[in-house]
Formats: sequence, C-alpha cells, structure tokens
Amino acid sequence: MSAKLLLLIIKISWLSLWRNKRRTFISLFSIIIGTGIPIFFVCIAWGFYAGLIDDVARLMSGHITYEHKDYRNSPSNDLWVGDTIKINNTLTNNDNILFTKQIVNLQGVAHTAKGSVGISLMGIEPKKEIAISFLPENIIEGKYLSKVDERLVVVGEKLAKNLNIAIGKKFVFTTNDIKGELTEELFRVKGIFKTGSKEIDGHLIQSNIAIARKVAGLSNDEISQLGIIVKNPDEHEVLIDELQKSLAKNNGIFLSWQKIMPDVATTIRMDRTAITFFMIMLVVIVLFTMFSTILMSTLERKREFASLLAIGTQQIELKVQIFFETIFFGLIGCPLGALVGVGVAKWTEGYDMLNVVGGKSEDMSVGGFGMDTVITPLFSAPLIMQICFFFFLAVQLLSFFPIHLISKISITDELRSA
Amino acid sequence: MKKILFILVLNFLSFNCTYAANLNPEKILDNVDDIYRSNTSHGILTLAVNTTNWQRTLTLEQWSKDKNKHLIKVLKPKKEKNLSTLRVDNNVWNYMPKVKKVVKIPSSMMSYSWMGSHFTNDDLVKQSRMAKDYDFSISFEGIRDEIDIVEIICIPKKNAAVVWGKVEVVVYREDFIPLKIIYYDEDLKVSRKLEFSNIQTLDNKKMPLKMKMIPEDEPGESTTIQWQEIKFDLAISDDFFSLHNLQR
Amino acid sequence: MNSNQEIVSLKNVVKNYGSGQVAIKALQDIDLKIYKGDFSVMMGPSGCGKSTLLNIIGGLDRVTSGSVIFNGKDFNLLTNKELSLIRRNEIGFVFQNYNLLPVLTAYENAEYVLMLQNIPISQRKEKVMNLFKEMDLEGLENRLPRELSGGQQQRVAIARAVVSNPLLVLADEITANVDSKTAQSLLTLMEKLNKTNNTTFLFSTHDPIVKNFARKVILLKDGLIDKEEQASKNI
Ligand SMILES: Nc1ncnc2c1ncn2[C@@H]1O[C@H](COP(=O)(O)OP(=O)(O)OP(=O)(O)O)[C@@H](O)[C@H]1O
Ligand SMILES: [Mg+2]
Repeated sequence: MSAKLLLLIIKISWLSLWRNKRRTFISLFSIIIGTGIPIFFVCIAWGFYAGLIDDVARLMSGHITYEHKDYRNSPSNDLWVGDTIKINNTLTNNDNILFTKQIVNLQGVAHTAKGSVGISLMGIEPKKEIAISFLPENIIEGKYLSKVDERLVVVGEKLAKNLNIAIGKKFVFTTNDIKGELTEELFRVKGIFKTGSKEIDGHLIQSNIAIARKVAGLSNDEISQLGIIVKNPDEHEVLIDELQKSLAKNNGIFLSWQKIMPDVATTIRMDRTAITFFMIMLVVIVLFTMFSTILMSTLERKREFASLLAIGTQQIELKVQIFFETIFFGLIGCPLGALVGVGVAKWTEGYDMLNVVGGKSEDMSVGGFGMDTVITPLFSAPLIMQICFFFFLAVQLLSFFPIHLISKISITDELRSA
Repeated sequence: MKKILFILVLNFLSFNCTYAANLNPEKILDNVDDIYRSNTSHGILTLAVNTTNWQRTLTLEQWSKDKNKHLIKVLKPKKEKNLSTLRVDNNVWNYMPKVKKVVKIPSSMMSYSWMGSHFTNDDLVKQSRMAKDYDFSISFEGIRDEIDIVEIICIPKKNAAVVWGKVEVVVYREDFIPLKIIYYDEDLKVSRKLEFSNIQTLDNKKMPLKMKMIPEDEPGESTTIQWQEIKFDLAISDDFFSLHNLQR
Repeated sequence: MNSNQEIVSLKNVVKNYGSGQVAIKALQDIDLKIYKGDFSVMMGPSGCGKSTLLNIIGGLDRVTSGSVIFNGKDFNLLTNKELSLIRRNEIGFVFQNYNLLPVLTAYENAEYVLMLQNIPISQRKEKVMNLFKEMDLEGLENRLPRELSGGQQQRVAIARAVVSNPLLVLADEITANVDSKTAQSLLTLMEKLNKTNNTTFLFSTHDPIVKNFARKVILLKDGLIDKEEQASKNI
C-alpha cells in the first residue's frame, strides 16, 4: 500500500466518520463522557487523598515515622526510641525533609467525676505543631498550647463532651510509665479542638512533650515517635530505605505512613479500587455504545465495501479504513473527554462537598480520619494521560470485530441484494 | 469512694477507739483511711448491684495482706463461681474459669466497672491517703439529725490527681466511724454518695457492715456491700497472693 | 474492430448454488469466448444466469466446474488475492446502482482506481481530466455523488471503470435505473470509448437500447447459451 493510497484511505475514513453526523456525535459524546467522568472523579478523589494523606501525616506522625520496631504491633508506652536528638539533627539537614516532629504517645484513661474515657495523650512541641499540623487551627474554644504550659492540654470536642469538661476544668490521666508502673497526672483543659474525625475528636489529647516525658519517665533524648514530613510524599519509599540504613538504631525502624496508618492506606486503596471498578463499568457501557455504532456503520456499508472489493480494493485496505475511523473517534473523543473532565474538576475547585451532598463533616472520614471536604483536585498529567490512553486503546479494540467482518463479505451476495 | 471500697473489700478491719478529745481533722481522716487496716483479713461479703436494667448479687470470699495484696473469689452465683481478682501493688489480674485464662488488666481498663458494679478496677488499686491529696477543715460539729457528728470538708490540692471538686466526710463524733462520704464534681454538684450503716462488732471489732454507693447521675442505681463474716490477723503467707493461687 | 485476441475463454463452465438435490444450477455448460474490442450484450429472461456469468468472468465468483481463462490466466489456479489484483488492474466494473463512494467527489471516485494501481499524481490527473472531458463530466469534478443525477453518477462510474484502460469492462444492468434518453447517451459514450480505445465491453441487460448498440448478442436460457449472434447493425 503506497503512502498516497494510505493517505486517501485515511481521508476516506475521516470523511466516512461524518456521513452519519448524529451517530458520530452520539459516539463522540459517549467517549467524551466515558473519558471525562473517570478523569473528573480521579482528579477529585486523588486530590482528596493527597490532601488527606498530607493532613493526616502532619497531624499524626508524618509521612515517615521513626519508632520502636515493635511499636506497630502494640503501641505500648514502654516501646520508645532513644538517641533522637542526633537523629533529628541529621534529618533536619536533609533536603527532602520539610519538618520533623518529636512525639511522646501515652495510652491511658482520662477520668472526671462524670466518667472515664480511654484516650491517647500526644506529647508534642507546640511551636512545631503550629507550623506543621492543622490541629492548632482547629481550636474551637480556648487556645492552643504554648511552650510554657505544663499541665495544660488541648482535647477533642467529643472527648470534652464525654468527660463533661470545659476550658479550665481538670481531669485525671491514668497510664503506665515505661517501667509499667501505674501513674496518675492531673491536667487542665486549655483548648478544645474539632477535626471532624470521631476518633481524634473523641480520644486525642495533646500536651507539651515535657510533661508527657515526665509522666512516662522518658529522658530528653527519648520519644515514642519521630515524625518526618517530606517534600514529595510520592517518593518517600526510597528515602525510608536510605534513612533505615544510615540512621536507625538497633531497635528503631523507619516506616511509611501506609504502615503507620494501614486503615487510611487500605481505605484509600479500596476507594481507588472502587473508583477504578466504576471507571471500568463506565468504559464497558461506553464501549457498548461505541461498539454498536461502529458495527452499525460497518454493516450498513457492506454493499459499498463489496463494490470497492469488486473493483480491486484489497481487504486489508478496507480494514485499515475502518481501523482509522475508530482511531479518529479516539483521537477526538479522548482528549476532549480529558479536557471536559479536567475542566469540570477545575470548576468545582474550592467548593465544599458538604454543600453539594449534604451531611456532616463527621461522616466524611477515611480510616477514622476526617476529610477536608473542600474540593482540591489533583491534576496528575501522567494519570490523566493514562486514563485517556486506556480509553483510546479500548475503543481501538472495538474495531476488531467490524474489521473481522470485512473478511466475511461476499461480494456477489452484496451486489445482488441491490 | 475509691479508697473506701478498697478498704472495705480488701482490707483488714481494725480501728482503735481512740477518744478524740481534741478534734484534729487530719487525725480523723487518717482514722477513716485506717479504720479497716490490719495485717491480714479473711472474710465473706455480698455485693449487690442495682441498675435500672438489672439486679444481681454476688457472694465473694476475700483475703488481704498489708496494704497491697488482695485476692477475691466469687462463691455465688454458680455461673460465675471461681471468677477471681488478684491485686498485688498496682497490678490487677482477672481469672476467668470458663476459658481458664488469666488476664492482666491494662491501665486503659482500670476505669472500667469491676464485676458490673458501680466500682471500678481502679478502685481496687487506689491507695493514696485523703490527708495527702486534700486540704481539709472541720466545717461542722455537733448534733445533726439527732446524731452527734463531725463534718470535714476536703478540697483537692492544686495538682493532686483527684477528679473531685470537693469531698465531705461525715463521722460519728464518738468513735470516728464513718457515716457518709459525699463526692462533689468540679462544679460542686454532688456526684456520688457513700453511705455506711449497720454498725456491729465482728471478731471483736466494731464496724459498719453495710456500705452503699449511690451515683447521683443515675437515679435508682446503687451498689451495696454487706459483710457476712470477717476474721482478722490470721497467718497468710505472701505466696498466697500469686497468679498460681488465682487459678485454683 | 474485432481482432482475434482472445481475452476470455470459458470452457464447460458450470455454476451451482448449494449442493445435492436442492442445488440451483445457475450455469449449466457454458462455452464462451470474448475477444479484444468486443462490444457484446448478454440477454435472456430473469434468472437465466447473466449476472452469474458476469461475476465469474470478472473473477468475483468461482465456477463449480469448467475453466475460465482470462488473458492467459486460469482463474481456477489463482488465489482470491490474485483475483483481486486482476480486478484492480485489468477489469473494470459498472454496476446498476453506480456504487460510487459517497464521501469522495466525482473526480476522486474516478481517481481511486488509479491510486489503487499506484499511478503517479500527474498521470492520474491527466487521465481523469481527459476522460472527464471526453465523457462530458467537466465541471462536475468536485461534486459528491449525491449532488449528481443518476445519469451523471453512472457516467462517473463508467469513468471509474475505464480510467485505467482495463482489458475488459463488465456492465451489469447499467441502464436499469436511468431513463431511456440517458441510457442512450451512456451507450453512445461507451461505444465511443470502445472505438477510440479499443476497450472491450460485456453487458448484461434486458434493455433493448443496449441491444441496439451491441455487435454481438449472447442469448442465455436456463443457464445455457441459447444463441450467439452477430448484431445486424454491424454486419
Ligand atoms: N447466491 C445464490 N444462491 C442461490 N441461488 C442463486 C444465487 N445467485 C443466483 N442464484 C440463482 O441463480 C440463477 C441465476 O441468477 P442470476 O442472478 O445470474 O440471474 P440473472 O440472469 O442475472 O437474472 P436477472 O435478469 O433477474 O438479473 C437464479 O435462478 C438465481 O436465483
Ligand atoms: Mg442479473
């Protein structure tokens, strides 16, 4: 087949595309929808996940956490890591790392005259926490901690309600120190925060790291977790290996947020699977429409094809023609779909989902962590291209059946049935 | 209330009838704290839990030694026979005969109800003295409701690990046997009351055999402890309070 | 005009549709020769096998038995692809329904065959334009088939069939869809092409107009050649 002929065939394909404009538009529309909707959802959802992961990492123990190797199995108060001042100093000089945060976690019980609730006390450095975490911004009553506060803590809104405590009120915190001894400490509420997560608002308390160390019986060099906030969360696996080799002490281990918060990771993975499944469903529906279009347009041109075959056109030349018709569908539809998907996602940027779907922010949680319900889409060019390409390929696959039909055309039968 | 339960359920009963000519509140509180203390004790008591949804009565056998060792076994009902609790220092273990398992109560469980009563695991462990955690003063002495009493008001010290806003201790002026203890929350609303009654002499000791815990925020509910019999200063070895013995 | 160059030679051609008892014997035992420069017409009642015979001569269909020799090549020995190439390079077809490609202009439809043959653009243009001039299609080059009358479309179809100077042009009922005046002009045109280019034509038709132009008339009946006669007109 000469280049000229190929060009003519492509031209015929292109022109054939527009012979039934209505049908072509329906097909194009279905491709646009088919590509656009998944891309829209992916942009929105992946944006949410990225935001969620970052929020949770900053709120809890970072994208990467350094902790005792057994701490994951049972986060007990006596599993701590030492030598952290030196490690911390090294980490602060790493270009890939934005922040580090030192955390002393103590599991225990808070009591008031009204009752008791199992809680997690998180000892932190207030100044750092203000720079890193969104929790300090979510104080709804009172004030966030400062360095000089000793027995003052901030508590979750639900916890305050359950314990029936308000600003300035006291509660007793019972826990085990690192030697396993039962200890009790009196705390007073300085501020109440609301993150939207049931678990956090109901069970988290933040205090200065100093008092947490004192309660636990830890020295200045010892903590439960060292949280690391990285610049590029997508590439943290490499960093983990590097840190593990160069910095980890014998009982310490650097872990990714996926390992630290498997619930979040799992939910996100499941969510992504659901979206992928949904996308595949859409693809199937769209492909079905496409398939009937392509098949119809082939069947109704059988006689035309037969006459072309009669005057000496080769089967392969007709097959190329049909193949190009679907290529044109894909070439027009997929980028347009991507444009529409990205455009709509862009358009929704900044909207609060709660205004759209209703409900309370508490209901929107992933793995126990509240989600920011304001839409912040993530436009990942490789991902969008991937979806486009996937769709494009799927549409191309459709042409195989009509192409196959060309071999079955009986010239004489078609010509007789005038 | 924690201290009192602890004392009643687990401790020896031995109070001397020092005549308090000079009413020293610290001494009175120490007396209330120490009123049941002795070297060892062994006794049988009933624990009656009364909630809006259900009632139940347990018969328990208990041993204690010093301030830090206690062993309690359920005698009745049959279903829960041999369910046991061992406390040594700050540690509490439960033995569940049905599954033949010993479970150490973690700190996170300490505030949970002990055997479904209005007492908690924590109450078994708590052993601080009132006089250490509170500032106190005598707020009333004389006849009230035809009883000659002394009333002491205890205000928790600033950083003391105490949940109450105020505690009122009322004792008979005659022998400092407690009559009632009222616990207030931080807003000075009554949170719960512990009432003592049925003063009798067992094994030559005079003591209130009955103690009733009434939570204020759950009207109609209460837990009552009633001593059936008690013996003091028996020879019980330290080994008796072991995990091994817990399962027997 | 007739040379003795044999273009098509059929020997004992039998064509059955289906097999066994229910087989339809479309062609029973056909012996036929077509010579270069022939302008022949096949006639006969409907269902006598005209189209079947045309399809076999054109390499669109295969015989049940017998042989078809086209320009020295035995169709029985050729693959479908080789047949297709013979159709592309040596045979022109004109159909009753014109069967032009609706998306291509008149010019492009005619040019299509030349492109299949990989003929350079300059030659293509020259051939098509000359032919269009000859066939009175000038000015219609850029029209789409649906913008042309039936007669015009058929002329374009004829142009497509003859533009590459095929050895043989097969035309099946090409006047069935046009009025007699148009039929007349189409035949005049083809006669002219036959005379000037010595292109061989074989028609199948019911139309007496076509018969009037024919130099040889082949009468078919029940799949057999009933009579072969030289038309009086050219004797
Ligand atoms: N594909 C086929 N299957 C079965 N029978 C067929 C097939 N094609 C043609 N026939 C039969 O073969 C015979 C010859 O048909 P053909 O089309 O050649 O006739 P024709 O002379 O062209 O008739 P017409 O003048 O009506 O066009 C007819 O009886 C027809 O029914
Ligand atoms: Mg016919």
